[in-house]
Amino acid sequence: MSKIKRLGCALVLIGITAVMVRSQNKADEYVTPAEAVPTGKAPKMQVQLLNPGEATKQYAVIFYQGDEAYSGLQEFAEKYHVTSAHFTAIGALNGATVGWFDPQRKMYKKIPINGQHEVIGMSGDIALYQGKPVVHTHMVVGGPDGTTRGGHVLEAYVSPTLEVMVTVDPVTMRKRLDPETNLTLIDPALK
Amino acid sequence: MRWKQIEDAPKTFVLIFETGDEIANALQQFAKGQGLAGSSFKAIGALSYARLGWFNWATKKYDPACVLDEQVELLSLIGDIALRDGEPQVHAHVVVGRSDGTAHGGHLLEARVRPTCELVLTESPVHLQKKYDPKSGIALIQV
Repeated sequence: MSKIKRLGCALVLIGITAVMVRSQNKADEYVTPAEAVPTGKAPKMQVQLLNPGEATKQYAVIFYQGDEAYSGLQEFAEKYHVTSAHFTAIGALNGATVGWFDPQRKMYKKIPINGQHEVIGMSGDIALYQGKPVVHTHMVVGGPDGTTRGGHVLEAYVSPTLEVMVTVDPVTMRKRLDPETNLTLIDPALK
Repeated sequence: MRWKQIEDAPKTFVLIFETGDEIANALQQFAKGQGLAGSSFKAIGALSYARLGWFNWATKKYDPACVLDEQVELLSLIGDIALRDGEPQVHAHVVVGRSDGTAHGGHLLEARVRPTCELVLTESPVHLQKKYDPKSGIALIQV
């Protein structure tokens, strides 16, 4: 083999390796919207019904140190058979991942939030997709200098507490898969 | 600050703040006056001054995350009220937007309104209690 050919082979190999590493990184940095939420990651979560006897239910869902709130909210929704709800929350966390929806890839780009942050505002809703409740929530977090970041919540490790005030409606709201975005979107007309 | 009860079940209030009103203090006074013990609220508006905190896990205190002595939009104020030793305690977080659209936020320490702040508050019949948490050094809601 001539020197040039050998050099060519080496360059191709380097190229393939680089592409493989790059695509691996990409797989880590993006998450598909349909990824299932693992439950059981918020063992300290506490729930209290605030207005017994009313059709529209108000709950306080409180998380404590180390609870993963997104998984906890999913657990709350399943356990309390929530079919339509909306909520707001404040608190603080230590470590989180939020997502930014990339319309080209139809996936969430993962944005890591490291260290202690205030959960300045979290709002979200719960609706059914294929009979199962789906929690959709966004948050803005603030760091020690007051600068903010935010996004679609993928995971949030509570520290020391997160206070979620949930209103559960006595109706059912359903989601349908939107092929254009690969997202499940709420369709109020869906029966 | 002016307020009006707009619904009985759930008990819902609208609070309208005016130029010069300080939100944290006025809310605390309102909560005391109405005997609020299990509330959640949200608001939008604009401010001439904001002092926001960040919970410092090492010192167990709120550090002043930022002080903005300028006109900002109050993009989001979310909070709740629970009892601590029988007294209502207001807990609220704020995001503000500056003139260039960048956002700052934190735990509400002080916020002076200009020209308005519109707040909707829902009070529940069941009370929420806070208890001192030795690990974090602050009182957390216990349910």
